[in-house]
Amino acid sequence: MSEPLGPPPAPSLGHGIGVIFRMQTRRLVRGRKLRLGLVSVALVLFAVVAARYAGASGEVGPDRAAELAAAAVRDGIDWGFFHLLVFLIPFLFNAHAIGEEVESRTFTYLSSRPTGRFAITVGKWAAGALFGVALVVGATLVLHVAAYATEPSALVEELGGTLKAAGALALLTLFYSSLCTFWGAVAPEAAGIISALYLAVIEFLFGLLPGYFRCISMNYLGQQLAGLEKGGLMAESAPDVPMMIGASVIAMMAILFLGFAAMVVQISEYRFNRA
Amino acid sequence: MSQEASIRTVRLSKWYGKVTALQEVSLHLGPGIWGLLGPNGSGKTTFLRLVAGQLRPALGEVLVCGHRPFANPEALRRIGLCPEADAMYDELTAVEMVQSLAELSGYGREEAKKRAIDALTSFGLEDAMNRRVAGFSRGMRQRAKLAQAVVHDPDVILLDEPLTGTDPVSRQAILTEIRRRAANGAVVLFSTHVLPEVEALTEQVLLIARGQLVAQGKVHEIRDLMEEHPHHIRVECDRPRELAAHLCGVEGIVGVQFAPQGVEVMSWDPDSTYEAIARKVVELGVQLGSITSPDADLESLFHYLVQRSSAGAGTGADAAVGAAPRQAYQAQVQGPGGSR
Repeated sequence: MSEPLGPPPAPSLGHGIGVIFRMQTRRLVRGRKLRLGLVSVALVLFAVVAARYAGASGEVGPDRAAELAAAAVRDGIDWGFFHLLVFLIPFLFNAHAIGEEVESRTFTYLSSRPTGRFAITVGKWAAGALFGVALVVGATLVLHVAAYATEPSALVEELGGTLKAAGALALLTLFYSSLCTFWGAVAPEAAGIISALYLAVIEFLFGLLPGYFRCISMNYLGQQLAGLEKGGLMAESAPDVPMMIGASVIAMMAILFLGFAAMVVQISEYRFNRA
Repeated sequence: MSQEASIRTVRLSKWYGKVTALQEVSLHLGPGIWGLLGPNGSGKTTFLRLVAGQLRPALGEVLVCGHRPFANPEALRRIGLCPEADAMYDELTAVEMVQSLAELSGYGREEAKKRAIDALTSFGLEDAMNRRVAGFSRGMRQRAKLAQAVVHDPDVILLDEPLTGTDPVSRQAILTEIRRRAANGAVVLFSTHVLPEVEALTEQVLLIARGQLVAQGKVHEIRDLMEEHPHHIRVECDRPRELAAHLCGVEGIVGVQFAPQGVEVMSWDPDSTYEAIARKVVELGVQLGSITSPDADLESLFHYLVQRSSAGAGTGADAAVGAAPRQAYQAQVQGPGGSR
C-alpha cells in the first residue's frame, strides 16, 4: 500500500469530464444498451434495403434503379431515421445516464469525489452523444451505400444529399441526448417515461402540426436542414426555415438543455434524502 | 496527512418532509477512530451523508477540515466514503472501478492504477481485482468499496456499516487497514449497530438514537450501561418450544420468549449463554437455522438514554454515565408477557 501523503488537489474540469467519459463509454460497450442500439439500427436498415430491392425485382434500367435507390434513401431517412432512430438512440444512451446511477445508488461514488458535478453531467452526456451520433450517422452512410450498391455513379452523385441529412441527424442526436440527460437529471426515477412523452408529443406530434406550431419541434427544423419534403397536416402552411437559423436553434437548445441538466445535478440531493 | 483533519458539526439538523432525521447534533471529532453507534433508522446514515457532502443540512452546519462538504471539491478531496448500499459498477472490473474513482480524485491514469492495485491488495483482493465486480461475493464487494474509499489517502474516512457481510479473514484485513489509516492521522468515523464491532476498533463512541446524539464517551461506559439491559440472542430452529424449555433453567438467562421460527433469549452473560445454547442444541439434536443478536438490547439502551436526555440529563459524556436500576429492568422483563 502506498504511504499516505494526503489527497491530491481537486482535478480540473477537463480531467473530470475525460474520466467520466471513459467510465461511461466502458459501461456502454459492456452493457446491453449498445447491443440494443445496434439491433434497432440493423432492423431499420434491413427493412429499408429490403424494400429497395424488392421494388427492383426483375429487370430494371439504370435510371429506374437510381430512382428506386433515391426513393429508398429519402424515405428511409425520413421515416426510419428522422421519425424513429433519432429519437430511439439518444433515448437509449442518455435518458438513464444520471437516473441509473441514482437509482442503483452508484451516484454516491461520483458525487463524493472532488470532480465537480458539472463534469459528471457533461462526461455522461458526451459518451452517450458520441455513441448516438456514431450509430445514426454510420447507419445513414450504410443505408446510402446499400441502396446505391448497384448504381456506382449515382452512389457518388447523391452522396452530398445523404451527408447533409447525416449532419442534420447528428445535430438532432446531440440535442436529444441533452434533452434526455436533462429529464434523467430532473426525475431519475421516471426518466424514461418523461423523456419518451416529451419526444412523442413535442418532437414527433408537433412536427406534424400545421403552421408555426411545427417550429416548436426541433425534429422539423432538422428535416428542413436535411432538405426533406414537408409532410403532415397542411404541410404547405409550415414555414421554411433557413439552414443557418435551423442549425443554430438546434445547437442552442442542445446547449441549453445540457446546461439545465448540469444545474439540476449540481444542486440535487437526489434520493440520498430518503432515510 | 494534513494537520487539521477534523469533522465539526454545529446544531446539525436534517428533515425529510415532516420527519426529523437528525436533530441539533453538535460535535467535534479529531484524528482517530470514532464509532457511530445506533439502532437501524436512528440517523447514522443521514449523519454520514451530511458529513460526506451528499446532503445539505436543513439547519446548522457541518464542516470537514474547515470546509462545507456539499458539492465542494476542496472538502470532497479530503473525504473517503464507503457507503452502506451494496451498489457497484457491475460492468467494470474491481481495478477499473477503483482506478476510475482514484482518477476522479485527481490522479493521473498510471498513478491511479498503481494506487488502485495497492488499495485492492491491502484488502486482500489481489487475485480478484481483474474480474468484474458483478461476480463478487458480498464480502469481496465490501472490500472493493473500502478500497475505493481509501485509494486517495483521504483525511476523513467515513464508513457506513463497513463490516457487513464480511468473513473473519476479510474482517481482520479491514480492521488492520482502518487502524493503520487512523494511526497516520486520519479521522475515521464508522457506523454500526453492533457494539462488539466498535469494541474491536476503538474506545471512542458516539451514540445516536432517533436523530439525536444521546451520548458520547468510552465504550466501557456504554458497556456498563448495557449490562443494565440484557443481551438478546435469537435462535432459529425446528423445535423452539423444546429448546426454550431447556434454556429456562440456565444461569444468566433472564428471559426466553418465542420469536418467528425460533426463540429469543435474554441474558446478562452473553458469552456463557452462547455456549449454553450450543450445548443444548447438540444435546437435544435440534436442527439449527441461525443464531443472531438483534439490536433489541441497544434499542432499549437508546430508549433509556433518549428519555434521560429529554428529562434534562443532556447529551454528551455525562449522558453515558447514568445507570438504570438492574432490578427495575429485570422486573420489567419478568412481568406479564412471555418472560420466564
